[in-house]
Formats: sequence, C-alpha cells, structure tokens
Amino acid sequence: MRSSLNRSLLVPALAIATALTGCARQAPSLPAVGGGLALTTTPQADRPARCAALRSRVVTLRGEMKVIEDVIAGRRTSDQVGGYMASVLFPPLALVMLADPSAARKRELDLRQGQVDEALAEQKSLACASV
Amino acid sequence: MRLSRKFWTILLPLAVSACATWSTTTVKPAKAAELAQEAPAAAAQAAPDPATVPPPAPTAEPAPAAAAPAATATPAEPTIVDGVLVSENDVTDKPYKVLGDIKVTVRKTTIFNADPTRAQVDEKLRKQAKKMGADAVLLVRYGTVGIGLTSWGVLDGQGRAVKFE
Repeated sequence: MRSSLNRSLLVPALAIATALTGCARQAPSLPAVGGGLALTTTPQADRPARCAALRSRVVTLRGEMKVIEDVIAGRRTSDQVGGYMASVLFPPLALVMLADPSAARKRELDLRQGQVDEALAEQKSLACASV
Repeated sequence: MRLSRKFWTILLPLAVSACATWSTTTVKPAKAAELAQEAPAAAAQAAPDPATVPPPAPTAEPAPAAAAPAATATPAEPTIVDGVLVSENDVTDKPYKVLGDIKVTVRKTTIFNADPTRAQVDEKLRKQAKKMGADAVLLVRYGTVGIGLTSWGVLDGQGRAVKFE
C-alpha cells in the first residue's frame, strides 16, 4: 500500500521538483534584428558623451547581473540535493519545495538583460566608436 | 546482484568521465528581410543638427576576424577561437549581415557530472556559427544552470550569427 502510494507520487513529484526546484533559467530572447537602426535625435556633438554613458551603463548592469548569478549559483548544490531527495527518495518533499526561492532573482536577471539590450541598441543607433 | 555491481562499476566511471555533457543546437535562420545589411546607424542618420559639423569617423577596416576584438562595444571578454568571435556585445561600427539566431543547450549526463559552463555553450555556438559561415556570434546571452526536464544540470545560451561585410 505504502509502496504503491510512493510510486503514484513519484511521477508528479518528479515533475514538480523538476519544474519548480532550482529549475534552469532560459537564456533571454534575442532582440529583434535591426532594432538598433532606429533614428536617433541625439545631436552629433553630444554623441561621444552619450556613448560613454551607455558603455558605462552596460558595464554596471553586467556587474549587477554577475552578483545575482553568483547568489543563484550558491544555491545550486542545495537545489540539486533537494530535487534529488524530492524526486527519488521522498516524493512528498516536493510539496514543501513548491516555491523557487531564486525566481525573483531570475526575473531581475531577465530585466537587466533587457536593459543591456536597450543600451546596446542605442549604441548602435549612435554608431558609437568601438572600444 | 553481481551483475548489478558490474553494471554500476562500468556505468558510473563512464558517466562521470566520458560523456560528461550532451547538447542540442537549434538555428533560426534569418528571414529574407532580416538579411539586409546592418549598417552603422550614424551613416544613415536623417538630417543631423546642421549647426554641428560631424567629424569624420575613423574608418579602420581590417579583416573581420582580426578586427573583431576591437569592434565590440564594451569589454565583456569577447573571444576569437577558430576565426569566430563570440561576444556578449554588439558590433556597433561595422556593417554585417545576420545569418540567423543560434540556440544551444548543454546538459550534464548524470547528477555526478560537473555543471555545464558558459565556455561549453560558447564552444557549441562557435561550432554552429562556423558551419553557417559566420564571422561572429554577437549578443550572446546565457541562462542559469539549473535542473531541467532531462538533466540535473542544464545551461542554455543564444547568440546571433553574423557575417561582416
């Protein structure tokens, strides 16, 4: 009885654990092709300063992303152990692991990637000199 | 029981050492409209402020592969290996044609293997780009390693394969 209960719980628990516990975050979508060719209203004289600001912004955003990624990576082992325990050893454990604690951080990563894309697109529209 | 022990004795080292990862690659070819040249925008700007005289832009045009590291907008450690540049940035001052978007997923084989790395994703992107005849993979972005449906460690990455004019 207990064995069949465990077996019947195994598949859904595996699915839940896989879907919700430390699940992989997909790479954000690529921006549309040609998105950087929009006309810019920035006067020519202001472009170098704007380009420098955009470069700096990209570096800052990437730095913030790195910090968030490091925090998520720090949870990786416990995620794997928890997922393994839930799916193989003790399926009901999946029920207490329903919430992905890194979900908010992953959303922040996607948000920042979008901001990086915007900055890169503007750099392209300004034809910023490459460094 | 003995068979089972032999089985694990063979399988575990194999799993841990030989086939640490497996991967899949998908390519979304650029549509005909998207194949249009991605020119530096400043050259195509509509009527800039007439009061300002635009200074002549420096137009160094070395070979694409050689120029690629200098052509990235920010220092995010672009790498050229095998003649293909892989960069998280865009090339902002050099025209190129978009060949397609590449998506790569690297998975570790067993829970005992090391997690897939960005370098492995870059390598797969580079291989696919080379097959497509691309000079670079730009705007590369990565997911976060985590548990996937078919693996205990999945990392995916995407990039845009381009050919410099």
